[in-house]
Amino acid sequence: MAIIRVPKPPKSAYNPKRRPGTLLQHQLIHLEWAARSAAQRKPHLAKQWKPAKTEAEAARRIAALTEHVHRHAAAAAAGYATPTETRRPTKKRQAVRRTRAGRSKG
Amino acid sequence: MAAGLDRLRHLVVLMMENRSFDHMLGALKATDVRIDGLDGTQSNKDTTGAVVPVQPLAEFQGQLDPDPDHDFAAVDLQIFDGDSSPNRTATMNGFVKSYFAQRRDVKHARKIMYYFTPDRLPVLTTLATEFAVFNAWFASIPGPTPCNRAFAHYGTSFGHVGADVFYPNAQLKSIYQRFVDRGRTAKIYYYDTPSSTLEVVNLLQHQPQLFGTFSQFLADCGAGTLPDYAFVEPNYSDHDGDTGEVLASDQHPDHHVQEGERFIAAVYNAIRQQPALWETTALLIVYDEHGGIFDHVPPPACRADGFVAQPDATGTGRPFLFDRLGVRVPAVLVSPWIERGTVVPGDRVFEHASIPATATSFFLQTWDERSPREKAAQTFLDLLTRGVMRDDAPEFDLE
Repeated sequence: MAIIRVPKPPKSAYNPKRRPGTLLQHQLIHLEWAARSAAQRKPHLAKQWKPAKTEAEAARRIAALTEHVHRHAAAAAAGYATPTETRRPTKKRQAVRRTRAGRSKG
Repeated sequence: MAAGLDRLRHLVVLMMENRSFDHMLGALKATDVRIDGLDGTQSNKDTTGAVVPVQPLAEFQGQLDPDPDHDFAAVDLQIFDGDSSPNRTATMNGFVKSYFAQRRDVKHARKIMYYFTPDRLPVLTTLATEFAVFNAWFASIPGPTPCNRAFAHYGTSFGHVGADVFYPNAQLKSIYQRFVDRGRTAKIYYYDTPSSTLEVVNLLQHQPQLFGTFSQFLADCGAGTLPDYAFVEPNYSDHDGDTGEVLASDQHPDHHVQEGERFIAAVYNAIRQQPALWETTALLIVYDEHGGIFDHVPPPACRADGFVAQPDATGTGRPFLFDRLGVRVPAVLVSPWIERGTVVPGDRVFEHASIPATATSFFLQTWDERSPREKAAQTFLDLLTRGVMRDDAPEFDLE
């Protein structure tokens, strides 16, 4: 049988600035949910997410979250604490902790 | 056992995105009347009452923007044309009205009736005519992607008709877990990390070892290390990759359809170009759902799945018992053991639960804890009927 040539789309087909459809946005929600620690997986928190504005942004976030989920699973399989659980507290949270510690001492 | 089944070692499933049967393959009826496609008489009415016939004017990109609605309530309108009476009939007359609701533009809404001619889709239409094309493969439910893809992985969506996060019931294991439990091999290949997978919360979260990338799929084909069962996902976004610009290949509107053609050809070539693999592999190319695009065949009723989606989830004001299939989608089975020009007749109804049903039946023989829908689903490997392998399979040159 003859070989069938399959043409390339034009360069103009590439548009990473395209607004992501609902499929990509839902993929992001699912990944953000999966990347959370078990304690953070609450239904009301699933609604607190930031939609991606472009496909490129969605792809960047999806890549980071996918790598996180893989690392998390690898750490869990190896018996280590997961990246989510060992995250350093923010400066604001550290300050709150110091204040609370000071009060309890008083 | 037929010679092809005797040699079969691998089942590969490539699931594309959001195109209806008539949109992609309907024009094949002109060259083969056995194919239940379009003859130009099919139509819908628009919101002015004008008749809108199907037309061969589909474009690769830029035509279906915004993305046609395919949530449960929208698909219900597309199928039943707004009829909510108890004994309503599926007419497939509500597609233009549904698309009109998104942009309030009558002229634009008519584009939902457009379809491709075969010369525009040389890969999919060649494979359909050279191997086996299914006249009656339907999405599992009249709704969006995640719940339909769940049927391919689990044989059920566990009562979900939307895109929300959900967890499966522990008794009904994924097809991958069934293979692992029986000492067999199975893998999901997503395109790359920025594209990732649509099966996130259950499988990626808990069993990342089941996943690989498309480059690994190509390597596994070349090295003879393809698992017994492989599920391939296309690229879902335009993004920068290691080799430069990477185009979405899923064919989801408004991604370029030709890039999806190239991806289908790449999967086919990876198998076709390895003689040992070609002889021992069946490749199913199927779309997850119709994406809101016109098809003329009413989805049939089916075995209820044992779950109920409540009215707030369906958005129709009525519950759904998972007792009717979604809109028809393209499905093509490829193997050198299939007779050229096989057309699977419409009285054999398939849906995505047919995928785990077939993989289970062939590789595992039995598995009791499966959904009612999967237990009732048709399997498709009986299409490998030839006693002698074909040597005339097409080849694709990716420019």
